[in-house]
Amino acid sequence: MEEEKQYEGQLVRRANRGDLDAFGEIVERYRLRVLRTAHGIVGSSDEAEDVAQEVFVKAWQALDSFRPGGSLGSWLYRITVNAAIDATRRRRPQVNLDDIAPPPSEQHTERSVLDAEEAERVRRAVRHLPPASRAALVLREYEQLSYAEIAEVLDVPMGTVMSRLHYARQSLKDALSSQDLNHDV
Amino acid sequence: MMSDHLSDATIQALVDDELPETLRAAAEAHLASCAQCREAVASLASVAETVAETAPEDCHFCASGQFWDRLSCRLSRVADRESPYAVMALIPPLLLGAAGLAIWLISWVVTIVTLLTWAGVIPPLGGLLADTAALHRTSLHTPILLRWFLDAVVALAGTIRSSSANWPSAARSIVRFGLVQGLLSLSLAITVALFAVWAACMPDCQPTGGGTAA
Repeated sequence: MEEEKQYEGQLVRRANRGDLDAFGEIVERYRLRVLRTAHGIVGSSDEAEDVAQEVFVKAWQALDSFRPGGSLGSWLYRITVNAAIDATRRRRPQVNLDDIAPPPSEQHTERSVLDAEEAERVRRAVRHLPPASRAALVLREYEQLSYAEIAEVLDVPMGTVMSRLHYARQSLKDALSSQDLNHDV
Repeated sequence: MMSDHLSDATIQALVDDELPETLRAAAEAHLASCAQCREAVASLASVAETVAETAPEDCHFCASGQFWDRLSCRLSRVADRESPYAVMALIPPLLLGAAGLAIWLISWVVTIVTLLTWAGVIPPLGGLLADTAALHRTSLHTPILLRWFLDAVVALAGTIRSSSANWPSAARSIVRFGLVQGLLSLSLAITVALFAVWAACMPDCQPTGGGTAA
């Protein structure tokens, strides 16, 4: 773990000197994590790709602000969460997400446990959460980060992480059960 | 705080496997005998699991190479990379600019003082300036441009000091002084501009080769 951190520190130093190969390795290591997190917050693959591109451009420009010895993952997650929340705020006009059907490409590739319709219903409910709770939930459920890691990424105390997670899950539970009721009617 | 049921925080920490070992045993013992708390844990775990299962799979996103091609294209266009050398690159033009500005201001102070003395507004400092300038203008360590400037000051001050100053001589001195002053300002401005252009070009010197991610 420590060796991994040291190696990533070396990659950052090389990239900071302008070595694009080193930066390419960083991108390759974190691309999917950044994409998944962005997708969880913005809610679509295309937009997540744009956010991920923006994240790595910002990271490239701000490599010298990365604290030596710090966690590269936490740093990139933080940039991702901020960029994704900014992207959702920039969206205009605000449309009713309930009316949006999932893109065709995403309809047939869901995990087998949930069918496509069910998965989209959950994603839609997640998209209705406030950005701060949504970010905490995505980092926990998609990325399996611990409370301490989420606190570091979001720069908030652990108690705040727990209350955001609790709020998010409770809201989801309520939303999904009310959707179930509507569905049954 | 003792209560009949587990707190929301404890239930959540249990589901997330974040409950300290010291509390876990007691919580699990409580769950064994409390159906309501078992139901609460199961319900929360179900929500967590459902959300986790909606995480997009890798195939939702474009291929690694495609992503890198687009990114490296954008990176090659980023000219304002905040490199640690950016500040260093700015130091020479900044220092030179500051020095140039100081010399330029001093030369104008000398000019204004000399002209005010000539006009009789202030006591005759021209002589003092001329004497100081005469000391330095012959020194080999004095840059050639500064020597020309001091020569011009001496000539102008000499004209002013002379009780029988005549207008053509004074005008010649003033013109000569103005020319040297202008030449000094222009040469400093050109040097600073050249350094500024050099500094501005520094970020563009970042290599833009391909990466390993493709």
